[in-house]
Amino acid sequence: MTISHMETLTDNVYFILVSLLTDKHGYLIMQNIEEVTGGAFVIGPASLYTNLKKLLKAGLIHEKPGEKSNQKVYGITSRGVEALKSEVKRKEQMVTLAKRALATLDGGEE
Amino acid sequence: MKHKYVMISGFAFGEKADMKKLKRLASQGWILEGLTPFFYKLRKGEPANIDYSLDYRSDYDEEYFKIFQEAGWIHRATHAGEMHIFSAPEGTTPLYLDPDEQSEQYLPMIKGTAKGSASSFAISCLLATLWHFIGPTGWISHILMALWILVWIVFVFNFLPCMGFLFRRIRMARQAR
Repeated sequence: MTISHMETLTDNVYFILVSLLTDKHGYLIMQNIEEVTGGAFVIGPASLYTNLKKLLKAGLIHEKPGEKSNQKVYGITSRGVEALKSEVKRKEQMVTLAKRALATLDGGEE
Repeated sequence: MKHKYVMISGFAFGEKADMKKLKRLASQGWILEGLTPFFYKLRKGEPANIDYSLDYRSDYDEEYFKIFQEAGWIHRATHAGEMHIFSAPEGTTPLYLDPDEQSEQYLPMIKGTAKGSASSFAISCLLATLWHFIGPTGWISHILMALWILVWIVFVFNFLPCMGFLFRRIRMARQAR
């Protein structure tokens, strides 16, 4: 399955895109995701590599040579930002829906 | 330097068991150094508490091994250019945490072995037909028979791994649900 065919972003892709709003090299993405989620979400190196390749192919991220030799640095593209924005919107709608439904369960209190 | 060779059980069926076996051997100081077509090549060193993991990938570059290495997974050996064995200290973040993504890696293996099974089966049918017309005597007939047996061996070595990968993928997909 390629990312351009995905209607929704997987959690792995979602966190990678968020992480790449500032440029990072491969391992730093893994560390950053673990750090910002307080260890609640961890991504394995095989998953990271697979998803980076898919995201590059789909044009949602770009790569460039890093400061150190043979190091690659990744960053989000404008298409990636668009994909992330629409995913955030979708997630917001889902959360709003559930919150409203839960509120009726609690007798109208939120 | 002391070396030891341990039989490979076949990655399609024995992946988990083999990785466990390699882990046990590492705890006795036998560390994986490379692969031969049928054996793991181990080198005597210090006993180590390490995990082994296998990743299937035919499309990879330098960056692949770099990301793995930075994440703690050292590349130990590659089999047939698409099966990569890595080791890491016990407790290192595994290669995959998402069973869905993990099962995806078997797709090219399933496709490849399925193609191999189908084409070898078709060739064996063709040979059998030819043999039927030529008859059971004469040197051409013997050559056809020998070829037929060879093609069947190719078939078995494609079909069985294909089933193995397919079952593993189905099991992982179930786990993901």
